[in-house]
Amino acid sequence: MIKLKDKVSAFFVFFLITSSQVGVGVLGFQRVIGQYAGHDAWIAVIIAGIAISVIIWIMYRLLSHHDIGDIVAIHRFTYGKWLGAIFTLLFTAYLMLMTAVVLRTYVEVIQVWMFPHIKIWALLLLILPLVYYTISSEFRTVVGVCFLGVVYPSLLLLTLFYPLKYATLTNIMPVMDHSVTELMQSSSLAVLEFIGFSALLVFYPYIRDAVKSQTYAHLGNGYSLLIYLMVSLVTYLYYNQTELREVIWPTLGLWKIIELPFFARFEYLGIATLFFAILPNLVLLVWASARTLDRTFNAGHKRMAILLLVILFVANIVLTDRMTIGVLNNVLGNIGLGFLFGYVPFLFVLNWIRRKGQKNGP
Amino acid sequence: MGRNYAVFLLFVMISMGVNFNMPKKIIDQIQMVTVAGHDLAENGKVTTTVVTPFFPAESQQKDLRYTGTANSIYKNKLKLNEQASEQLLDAKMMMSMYNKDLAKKGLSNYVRYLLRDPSIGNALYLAVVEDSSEDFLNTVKFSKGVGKYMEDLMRHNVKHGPLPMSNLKTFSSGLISKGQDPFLPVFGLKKGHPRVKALAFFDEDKLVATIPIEKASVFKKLYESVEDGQYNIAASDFKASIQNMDSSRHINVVQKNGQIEVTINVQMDGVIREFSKDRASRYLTEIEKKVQKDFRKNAKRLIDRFQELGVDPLGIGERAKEQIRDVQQKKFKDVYPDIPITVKTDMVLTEYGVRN
Repeated sequence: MIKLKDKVSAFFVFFLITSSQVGVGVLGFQRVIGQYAGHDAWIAVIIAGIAISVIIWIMYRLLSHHDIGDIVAIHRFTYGKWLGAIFTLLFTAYLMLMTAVVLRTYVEVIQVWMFPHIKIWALLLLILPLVYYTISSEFRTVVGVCFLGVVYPSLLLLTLFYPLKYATLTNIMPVMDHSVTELMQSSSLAVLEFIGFSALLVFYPYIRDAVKSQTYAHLGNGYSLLIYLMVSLVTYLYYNQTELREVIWPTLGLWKIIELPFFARFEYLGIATLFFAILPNLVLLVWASARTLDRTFNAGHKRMAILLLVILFVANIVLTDRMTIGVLNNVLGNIGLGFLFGYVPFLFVLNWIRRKGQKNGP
Repeated sequence: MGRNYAVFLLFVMISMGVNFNMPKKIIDQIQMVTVAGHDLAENGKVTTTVVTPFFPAESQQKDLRYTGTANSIYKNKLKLNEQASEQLLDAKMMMSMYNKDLAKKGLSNYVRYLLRDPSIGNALYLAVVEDSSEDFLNTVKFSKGVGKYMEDLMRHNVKHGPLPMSNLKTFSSGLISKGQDPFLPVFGLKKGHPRVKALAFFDEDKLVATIPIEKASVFKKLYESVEDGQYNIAASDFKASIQNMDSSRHINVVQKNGQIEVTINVQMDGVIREFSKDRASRYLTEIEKKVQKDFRKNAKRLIDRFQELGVDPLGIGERAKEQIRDVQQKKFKDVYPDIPITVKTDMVLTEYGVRN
């Protein structure tokens, strides 16, 4: 059992959810989700956010029925020891893939926008020890990083007012110019921006009055939705759709128009501040991966953490160019979509049947 | 824990040590280009002239100029760097200029390289130069530097003068968008002194027409809402100047029986500052009427010219897309020259200064 002093109050679920959802995706999701719904893609963001709220509801129903309600326990209960361990391993692999993509995308941004000559492996030697330092002690440290990861980058929202000087309403008019199918296709892409919260399945037992924290989880998701909505709306007002198709990181492109007398390129400050939004993603996901492995194999949390960080290090060096990173992003999006909207409801139903069976059984 | 910290420290030291050899850009070991001018040369080559400041003593500034000819921008950079004492960098560029001949051939390549570069901001000013930007940049000399001078010249003419807002952002939007064509200001020399001469209109990225700067304030009011404009009129019996002019314009596109019709409504208000007769207060309605008539006449002429040339700097294509569903922008481009476009005006003179 987890000791009471290791648990965090329900309120922090807001920060855990938001900080895990808002990360590297916020830099460039506008073009990706606009592939089908064009200038109406901001509606797709709303649809995706609401759909995610439904999944959060399902997760809470799933988790609240177990003593140590995390995905390891649920898998063990639902599938039995061996099959459960295999499914947990797959889940861990999914979390780690997400971590690798987040980290590599952020490093890519640093490479393209700030230091083209930087040695990636050496940069990783700076970031990864920081991740290890955060996750090797208590969960409360992770929560602290998540808290700051919401507070600091929130200042960047103010910069969204600047590009509005060039906003053209014609760029997003007429509203609802696309079919429902196109909107749904775009929504399915927008879901990728929210998938980071899957770690909820692991940190749930660390929350005091966990059942009551559901409101905060929905609020956190709502706040992420608000951020994505604001960013996408400003982007679609600022960029023409044909223009947007050429821009790789539209959010950084918005900062390109900012001119301060003492500060020529705002992106440098922006990208640096965004590290506070990326770090919670990394620490939460690696922490969750290490914990699931530790719970499954009893191998020790710290040892698992080091193993995972080494894997992360190697994975990030192997991925070298933009194309591979793009492909990996797409693959991750599809897996995330399948996991959240396919596997989680499926697990919920299966778990429910098993519980019924056990109650009525011998 | 102590061992952990030792490992961390080792990692940090390795990381710092390895990345220490990254190419650095130290402020007194680089030269910041403030203006770059591109001219069409023979055989499709481009002559580029760059201006970069150097500081002979404290609070003194002089401009250095380098010129080179090559068939691509970055090849030219090599040539320019062969002459410069330090590495030339673009990040502080304030204006990028193109001569008319180059603009007529198409600017796409010479603008897109700016968009691709993360170190260049999108508020960079672009301009067309009448003859040769090399001559222009070599002639113009000011103590605050050509770059700063041209930037300031452009900025106040956009804020308070006849120039409509244009920079890298608006130009590239117009360039890439299907429902709008871009425009740029034209600079020229008069007795060795730079001045705004005209406004150049582009069909996609090729310059096709210019209008003299006197007509630009009409275009500006048709193109955007103006906060501090002016309008000068010389009617048969009086001359008047209206200052502090606010205007807002709305473009309405309707489709009647398959025929697209466009109405541009311009609402203006302003203050009389100059009037060739006594007692401006007695002539208010007359002035209002004559200004509106004059404005409509000029606007009509401009729009007719745009339609003849098939350029759409007012963004009527974008408006059509906004207001009529399923307008195809490709098809719109074909019908655009024949669309009836009417200009409607409304004007109020709110004050006439401190004397009536």
